[in-house]
Amino acid sequence: MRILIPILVIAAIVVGLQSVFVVTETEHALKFRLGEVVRADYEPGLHFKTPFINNVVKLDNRLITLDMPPEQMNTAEQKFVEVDYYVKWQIVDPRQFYIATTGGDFMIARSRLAQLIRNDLRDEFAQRTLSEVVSEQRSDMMGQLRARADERMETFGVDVLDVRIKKIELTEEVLGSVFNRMETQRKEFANELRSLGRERAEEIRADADRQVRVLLAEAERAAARIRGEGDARATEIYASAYERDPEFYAFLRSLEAYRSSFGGGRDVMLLDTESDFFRYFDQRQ
Amino acid sequence: MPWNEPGRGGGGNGKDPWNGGGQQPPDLDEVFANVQKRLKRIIGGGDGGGKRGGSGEGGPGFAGIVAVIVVLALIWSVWNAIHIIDESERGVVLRFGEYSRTLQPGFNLTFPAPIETVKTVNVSEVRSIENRTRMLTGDENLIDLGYAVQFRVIDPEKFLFNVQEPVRSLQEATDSAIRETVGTNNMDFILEAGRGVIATSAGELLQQIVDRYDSGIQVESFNLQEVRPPSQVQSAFDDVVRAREDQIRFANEAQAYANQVVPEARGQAARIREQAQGYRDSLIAQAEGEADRFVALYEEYSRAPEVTRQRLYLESLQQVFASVPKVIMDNDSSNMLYLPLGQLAGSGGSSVSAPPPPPLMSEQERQRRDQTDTRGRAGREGR
Repeated sequence: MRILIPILVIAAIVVGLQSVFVVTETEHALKFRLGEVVRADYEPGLHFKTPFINNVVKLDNRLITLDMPPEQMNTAEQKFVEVDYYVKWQIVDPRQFYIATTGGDFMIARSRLAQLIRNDLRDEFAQRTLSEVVSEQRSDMMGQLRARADERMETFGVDVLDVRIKKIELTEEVLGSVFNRMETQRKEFANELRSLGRERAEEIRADADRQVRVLLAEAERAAARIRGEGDARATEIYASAYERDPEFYAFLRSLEAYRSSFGGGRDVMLLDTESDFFRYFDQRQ
Repeated sequence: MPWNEPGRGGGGNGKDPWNGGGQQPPDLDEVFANVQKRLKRIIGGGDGGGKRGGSGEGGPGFAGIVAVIVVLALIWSVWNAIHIIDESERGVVLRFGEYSRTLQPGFNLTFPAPIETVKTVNVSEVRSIENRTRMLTGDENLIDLGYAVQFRVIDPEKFLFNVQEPVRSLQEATDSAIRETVGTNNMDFILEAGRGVIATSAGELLQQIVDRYDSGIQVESFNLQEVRPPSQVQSAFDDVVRAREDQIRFANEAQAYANQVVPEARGQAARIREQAQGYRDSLIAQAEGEADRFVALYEEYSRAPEVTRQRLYLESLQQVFASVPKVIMDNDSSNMLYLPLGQLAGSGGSSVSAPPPPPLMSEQERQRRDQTDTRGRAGREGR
């Protein structure tokens, strides 16, 4: 009797534990009765089942990442690029998922999804040029891929929430030509900048030279006018003075001219005694 | 002894209930003492039973084991029921796997382990993801980018329940967001003006993605730390920077030239004007002087014209003749004259009389002539 009690206690505990199960917030639970799904819509919490007849399978209900290895793809203009992308998916119908994957095998779902997306992506890339893929149609393309995958994965009880391209990388041979192009573009740009600088410099110099010329010419013009003014004024002054007796002026001026013309000492004068100067020289008459 | 296990209750925190709950230590001490006492008895009893040959003396041994288990379970339960939540954390309580409530910082009690479990999430710590990588721009150029994302868990329940590996998801979303943003912009824009714009729009895009995943994460900031062209073409880019400097330098040099040349020309222009004014003013002054002189002279002349005229004439001629070699010819002796002009000019000085001397010259006149001569000579020397 004493041995029976603990055995009964242990048996009771085992049966008790077999008749309850816990569903957490992150799980879907499926209850089977001898292999047949009888319930799939469990809320999180403590639930009951019949021991040994019912069994329970739990599936993750969180958002799952399918991170794809980088793959080489070909764009419309035959450029090879390596594309790295990931897919976010979630089980929404555990019963269907369980059936479609023959026993809740995630590997089957993953590989099916991966294959779908890979083929789709390959097609999308083949229809587009690199720049379309990289910039203009990137988000559109990802949206289309998601929608199509979502539709086709419905049979798995799976929602595809997001298909996102991470990297689009150029392959080695394309890389070289891209670097070349970038370098040439920069060189062109640098040359243009320098030429623009020279252009500007030439403009500034030419403008300066023009200013110099104009300044000097204007100064010369003003100077000529001023000189003319001086000449005119001087002439006027002389004229108004000499007008009083032009004959006397001529006389005076002539005398001055004689003085300054014959002062050199090199000249030899032949003087005729008949001239007026010698009027008193010869007193013979 | 479970309360000495380092893993239990998160290290140092485990000791707090002992200090906090004043009435608990004596109770627990008592329990502990009890346990020790019983343990000793059981072990002692067990050993004794074994030596006696195991003749059905297992009774007290089994009861003892049950008692020990019960006591241990009790301690374990108490231990599991007390939760000290740090200020930076929140505790999410699951009752049989179902979300029940969120514990705020401080002292909290829950049902023990199998019934309720607590998961703590740090909601204050700003975590960071950093990465440095090469990516394609919208104009098919390559650019090296270093970026950092700061994020924080704002909703612990969503963080725990909605996404597998939420932090890694964020990392992937970050990769995708920055590449999409860079992919829709051109290289020059990213390198120059667009740094802030790129970071902002990448941050917004990232938040959108994260919200779609509903992972309870908030992106605090998205920073671009380093934006530069790939090392393979770095020199070409550097050259553009130099070219830009050259561009400015060329213009500056020209401007310096202009700044030198134009003021100089202005100065020169002023000089030309001043010179002309000087010419004008001096000419006028000279004219006025001459005119005044003439007028003054004329006034005197008009009083005695004949005499003055004669005087002026003679003085002038005297001055002229005094300094000039001369040959005086008498018209009557009109034969051939030999004039050694070369010699005369060469001697360049005193007057030489022609070979046929003037026939008659009074002593007085001769004297006067000599005087004139010397005077003329003196005059010349004086010049």
